[in-house]
Amino acid sequence: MNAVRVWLRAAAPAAAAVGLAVVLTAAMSAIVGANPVQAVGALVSGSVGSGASLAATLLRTSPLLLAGLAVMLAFRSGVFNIGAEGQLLVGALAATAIATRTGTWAGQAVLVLLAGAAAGALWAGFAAWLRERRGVNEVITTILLNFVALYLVSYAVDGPLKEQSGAYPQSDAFPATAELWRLVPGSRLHVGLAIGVVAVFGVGGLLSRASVGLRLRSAGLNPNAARLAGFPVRRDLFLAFALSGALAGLAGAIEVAGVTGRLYERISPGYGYTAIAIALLGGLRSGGVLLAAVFFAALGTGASAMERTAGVSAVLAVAIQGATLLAVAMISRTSWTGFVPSSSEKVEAPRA
Amino acid sequence: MSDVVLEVVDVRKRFGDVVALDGVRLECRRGEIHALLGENGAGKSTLMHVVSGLLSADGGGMRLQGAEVRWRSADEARSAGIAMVHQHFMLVPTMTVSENLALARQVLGMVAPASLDADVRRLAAERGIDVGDPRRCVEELSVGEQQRVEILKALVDVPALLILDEPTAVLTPSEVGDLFALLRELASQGTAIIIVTHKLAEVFAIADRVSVLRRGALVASGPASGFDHDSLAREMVGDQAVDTAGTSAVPPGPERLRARGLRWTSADGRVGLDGVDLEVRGGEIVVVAGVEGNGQQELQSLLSGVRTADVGGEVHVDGRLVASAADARDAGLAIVPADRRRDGLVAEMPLWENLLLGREDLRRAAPRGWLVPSEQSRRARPRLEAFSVRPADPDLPAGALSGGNQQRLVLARELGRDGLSVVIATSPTRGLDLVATRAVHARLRDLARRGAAVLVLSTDLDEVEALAGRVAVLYRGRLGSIEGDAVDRIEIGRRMAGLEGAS
Amino acid sequence: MLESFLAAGLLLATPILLAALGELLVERTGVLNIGVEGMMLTGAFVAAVVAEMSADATWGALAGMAAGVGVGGLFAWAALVLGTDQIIVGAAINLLALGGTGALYRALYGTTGAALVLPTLPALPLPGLGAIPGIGPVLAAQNGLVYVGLALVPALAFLFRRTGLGLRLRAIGDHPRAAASLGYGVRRYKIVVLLMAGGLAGLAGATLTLAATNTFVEGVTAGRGFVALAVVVFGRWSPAGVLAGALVFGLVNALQFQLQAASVAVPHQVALMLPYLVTLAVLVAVPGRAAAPRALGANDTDA
Repeated sequence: MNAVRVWLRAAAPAAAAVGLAVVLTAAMSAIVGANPVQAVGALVSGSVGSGASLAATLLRTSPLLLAGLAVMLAFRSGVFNIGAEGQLLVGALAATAIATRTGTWAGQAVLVLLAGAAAGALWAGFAAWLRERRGVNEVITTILLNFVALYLVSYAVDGPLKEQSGAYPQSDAFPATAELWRLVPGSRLHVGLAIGVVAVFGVGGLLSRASVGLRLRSAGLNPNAARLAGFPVRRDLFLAFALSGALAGLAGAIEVAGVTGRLYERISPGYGYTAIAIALLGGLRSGGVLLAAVFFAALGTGASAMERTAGVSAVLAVAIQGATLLAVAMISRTSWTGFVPSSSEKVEAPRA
Repeated sequence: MSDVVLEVVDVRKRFGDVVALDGVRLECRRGEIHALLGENGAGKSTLMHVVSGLLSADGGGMRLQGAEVRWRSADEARSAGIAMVHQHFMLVPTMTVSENLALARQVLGMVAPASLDADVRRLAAERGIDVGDPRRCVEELSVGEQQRVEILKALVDVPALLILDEPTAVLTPSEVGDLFALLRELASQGTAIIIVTHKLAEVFAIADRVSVLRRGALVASGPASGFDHDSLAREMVGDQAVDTAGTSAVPPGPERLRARGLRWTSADGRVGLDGVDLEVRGGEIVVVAGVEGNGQQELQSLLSGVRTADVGGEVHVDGRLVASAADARDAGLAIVPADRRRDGLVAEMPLWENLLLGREDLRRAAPRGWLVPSEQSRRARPRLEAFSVRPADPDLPAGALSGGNQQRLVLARELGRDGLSVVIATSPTRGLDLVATRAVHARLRDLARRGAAVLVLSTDLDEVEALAGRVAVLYRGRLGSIEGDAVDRIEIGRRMAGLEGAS
Repeated sequence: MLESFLAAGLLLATPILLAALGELLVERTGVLNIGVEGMMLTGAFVAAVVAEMSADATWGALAGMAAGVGVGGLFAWAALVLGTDQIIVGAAINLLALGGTGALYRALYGTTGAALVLPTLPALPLPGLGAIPGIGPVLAAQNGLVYVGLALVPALAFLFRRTGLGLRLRAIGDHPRAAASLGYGVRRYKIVVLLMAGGLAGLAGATLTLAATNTFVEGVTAGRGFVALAVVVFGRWSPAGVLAGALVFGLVNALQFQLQAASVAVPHQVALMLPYLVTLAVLVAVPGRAAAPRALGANDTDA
């Protein structure tokens, strides 16, 4: 009974979002001078209209879902991690290094994924260290680290990880042993989607049903109270950053090992930033994040079809994502309580 | 008759289903100090918010100096001459005294610090309120100093009526004395003053007239001289049973809390604690009296194990060294922090999760690391009810509770569990009314009776008296000699103010 | 050589400076606007379109500013009038601006990839500036928006420290209830300041398209709005600090161009990383308690 209510609460804004997206697509495509009916039709059929388009949507869901969960976990823990983009990129980078520079061996894909998660965790851990030891707010550090990661990838594919033939600034293709298993033979759907769904339950359960989750949240939201409770606050804060970074890093690793099969500069069309919108649209609940991720992915794939058939630029999908997020938030007045603006001040011990 | 400054007639106010004010009348006269007495939730604040224009009444009327008035905003009430000093000060902590007063005077254009300072000095001299150096930042001031700034703010234009909401809640005994002298001076100049309080002693110390509210209704009103302590308490509390469980002393047991050579020097060289030794036996209540800022916060941090390594001294509970907050928790130590919102709870979390903010509570609730929210929520309810947390809805975020109920929540967590060895409580009854205060004191005595060592850090002389344990005075980081059974109120007050070197 | 390097650094610092000063204003009144990037991008786009159509960069800059004010108004309406979470509104505005400007750009100019060539903001030689020894030549031939940015720094410092209005704004950001208790319309002040910040972000965008790159491409701001957010924290919420942060960023960015031009044996990606790395390094080296406004980001819409 209770579970049904929880799911309904997560689903109601989602339903509103779908409706709004359709209306907005029609309106916006009319503004840019296209046929709105044709545009909406293309958007729907291109995202969920056929088996192939549905598969494309699901394919796009997995990085968005994992990165969205990363942001959700951080925000719920009072950690304002804007750096999912950077963590995702270094995850993809580390995964590529393992895939293309360690030869080929059975089970390589597992290490590829682990390397991605570890790299993301380390990247976020640096921001945690800066907050904990130097009192620097993670908002600023994670933003800066995003750009560092972006240029790091750009350097790597033009330098140490550049393909052997040297033709383009991209890595070698992943060997078969480093690629993700397909869920359905013949389709492009890979095990990354399953990992994402497992993560939905994992992150949701961790935050609301595990004592570790309670500790993480209290350490982020009010370290003083957590310290007085006898919790290992410093360790918990690092853990929150690291888990969030690991999820984002995993998203990057899955993207290269499951979809693109190699690393190049524009590997992420801003998944890490979109993830913030997804986490917020999902109401910072794991079920909501899942729905929001599928929805945003559908908009993305649908928009490509829209561009092909209705002549409406695919980038319009991004505007629709933004408008939907805004409209849903305004309707539901989602008050997001997990955010602590001056969190670095709270880290201070009692006034001395 | 022209003496009447404010007349409130039959004011009614309801919030949803709750009747907050049920036809209240009130009359304040020129030059008179009027005490408005009542328990938490009796409607005192609501009434004062109606009078000062922060809330609008559902019915009834108000006359200010004979003229019928109806406020549309707090601004209107203020321009008409009603000034209010809120319980939580409305000062900008990051600004100087001068800047805060410039804000109150609605200065808009260019401001030169020197001229602002001069303005403040002149105003302070005219009104007879000493606020010290106007260039100091408000957050560096003591609570008493901040209150004087707040009062000066209210007196920028001499008001016809000055309302003070629980002005003594945060003051030291000597600061209370200063405040009362100031209020008498203002009254003698003709200002009508309303002082909102739930402390009986204050009524007799300051008020000319007293009105008692109970559950939104005026139950008594008249000259203060017409009441005594007992009659006022009866009017205020009604037929509710007041728990006054006596101090059935038990012979002290073995030593449970032992602290040796506690020292604390902050980064800027200020000495917070200067060699404090302390022991408390099982079954014993020890009260450390002291004005805030004399080392309570530091003592609390050290005894609870939150700080150890970087400061001197050792703390033992039941003979075991406390090297961390986790050690302290494992040894069965409960701690009620002074600032519940900052240190005691997580505002965003529901009440049931706040009840698990203790290492051992969490471990007991989730022995394998997993817990079932619905089950924990169900289990939390009786505990919340036992400590009268209202509303006792375990799924509500703690931040939604009023200050007094947040305090009850922390008390429910810390004092509501079994197997406590040591209890350290800093101002455990701050913000609580008479009934709740007595209940907390009874609970502390009960814990002592069952063998816990109880240490209470308090700034409130009433509390020091009521707990009637051993008393020590903390002044400038030193703990004065622990006295015998004879608790002399005046002597403790003198020592809290540093008037006598503890030898 | 040094002069042109410094002049380039100042030009590159200006978009960051303008946007960050606007953000400083709103954050001082307690509003956290993470939508600066979107406001800047909108300003950059509208400035480019209007400049292209009118063949006059000045009209473009004014239009860019007006567009920024419009986005600021959208933020104010959603966050302050309707009470929607500020973070959500900011994130949504970023997406809206990225998608909206991208789609409109393609609708207007097609996807052929031919770069839009825009009129540039003319240099505005201020009499006497060039004569100042040392920095004179650096300042002399800059466009008007550079001077606007530089002039705003002391102006804002004066506003906050030496005017009653500035005291009110700070009070609203630190303790909105105290300000409200004195009869100040907290929300009204916040709305006005948001419109101003939007205008500044719009100008920042205009600087980017009409002075720094002289073209518009999708997502031309490339995260500079986020850098502006970072610079506010870096500058500890003071106008001078923000100027310092923006200059560090602009100069290192200019250095990066110099390194590439001089074909120094540094991979260009590493050079591009430099501004961010240097900012990080400064943060690590110069710690200090943040001086954030106390009620920053709080959803406090009463009064």
